[in-house]
Amino acid sequence: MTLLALPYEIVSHIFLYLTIQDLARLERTCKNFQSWILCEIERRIKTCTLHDDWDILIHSGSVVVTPARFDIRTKKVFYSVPMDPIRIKTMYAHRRQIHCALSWSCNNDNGNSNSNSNGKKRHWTYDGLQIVLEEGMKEGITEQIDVQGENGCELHASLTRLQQKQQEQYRQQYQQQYQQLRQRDDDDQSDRENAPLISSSIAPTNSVTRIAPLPLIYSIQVDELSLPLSKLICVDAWPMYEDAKQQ
Amino acid sequence: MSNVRLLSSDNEEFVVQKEVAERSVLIKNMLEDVGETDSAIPLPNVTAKVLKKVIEWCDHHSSDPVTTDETERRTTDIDEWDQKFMEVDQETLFDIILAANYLDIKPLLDVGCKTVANMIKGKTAEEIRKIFNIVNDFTPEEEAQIRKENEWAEDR
Repeated sequence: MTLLALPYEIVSHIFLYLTIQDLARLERTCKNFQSWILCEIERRIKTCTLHDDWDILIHSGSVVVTPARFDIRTKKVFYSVPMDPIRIKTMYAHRRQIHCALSWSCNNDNGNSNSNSNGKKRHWTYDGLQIVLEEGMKEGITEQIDVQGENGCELHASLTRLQQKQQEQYRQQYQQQYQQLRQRDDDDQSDRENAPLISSSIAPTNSVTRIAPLPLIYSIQVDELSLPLSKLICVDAWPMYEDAKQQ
Repeated sequence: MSNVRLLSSDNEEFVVQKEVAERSVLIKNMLEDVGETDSAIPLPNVTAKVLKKVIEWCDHHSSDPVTTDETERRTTDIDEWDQKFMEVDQETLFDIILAANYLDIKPLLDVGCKTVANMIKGKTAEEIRKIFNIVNDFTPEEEAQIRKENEWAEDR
């Protein structure tokens, strides 16, 4: 009887007592162990036992990312980012950087060498990701962008410059809503006497000539975040700064 | 206190206290199913040599409280007596683990698996291969690739 002859249910039980570093070293022993260990790493990623919470801040929206899969070929962990599309408005087409920050928190009592033992959560933030809106992007076309961070972090997103037509539709919808409100206002004379007067000079009617151009609107849908397993494990080695605020 | 007779795969009979035998969930369920019986319980997957060791462990731990908390069981260190008990050759160690799995003695399975894990902890791939007599079936290129990918784990 040898270790390799043990059934997988027992080998996977042995793996429970090993750290991810030990598993990585064991992976190099033989092909059998390699396949078992990659399954175990994937299990740990999916059951979130590998690490604490990660969240991502893009522009002004923040969301906790959830581990979705582990690519055994690239050894990258992919997270789904359950975030609504982000709208960015700009008055003219120019190169613009959208700031993204990754935050990671851990309990102080998890054996982390950098931690104090006061049982509170500590937070680190990594600022190495920027989504770039390039000048001259065509309207209505969705581009897939891969944002590379210096530590192998990648953000996969879809970027669209909304069409002026769509923007015009929004403006018309707004005008219709305004007209409906005004009509309702006309119908109710008594309320109208008490209500502040709406000056017809500021009302956006179809006859008004627009002076300012419509802003350019970009829509960013972040699809996925990926981090190399090595960076995920050695997170202390990242160029992160520790947040002063502690929970 | 009543006794139970256990029959190993190589037809050796062991008489043990019911309380000791019932550390095994498999035997406990069997006894509940068949009721009071004089006939020996056959254990076709366990040899006499291994059954003797398992009975020794069950006897020592017969008065231990049954821990249902998986996390507590897994995080508790191996006590000194168990460490000594597990000082056996690799083949016996794996046989004890297999028997614990078959007989459904979770604390013994944990001790066995922790012992094997301790033999792996902090070792290089080469050391692990040597300890467990594992044949390296990677090509030099494949091994170099894994070594490169897992470089972060090499610094112990």
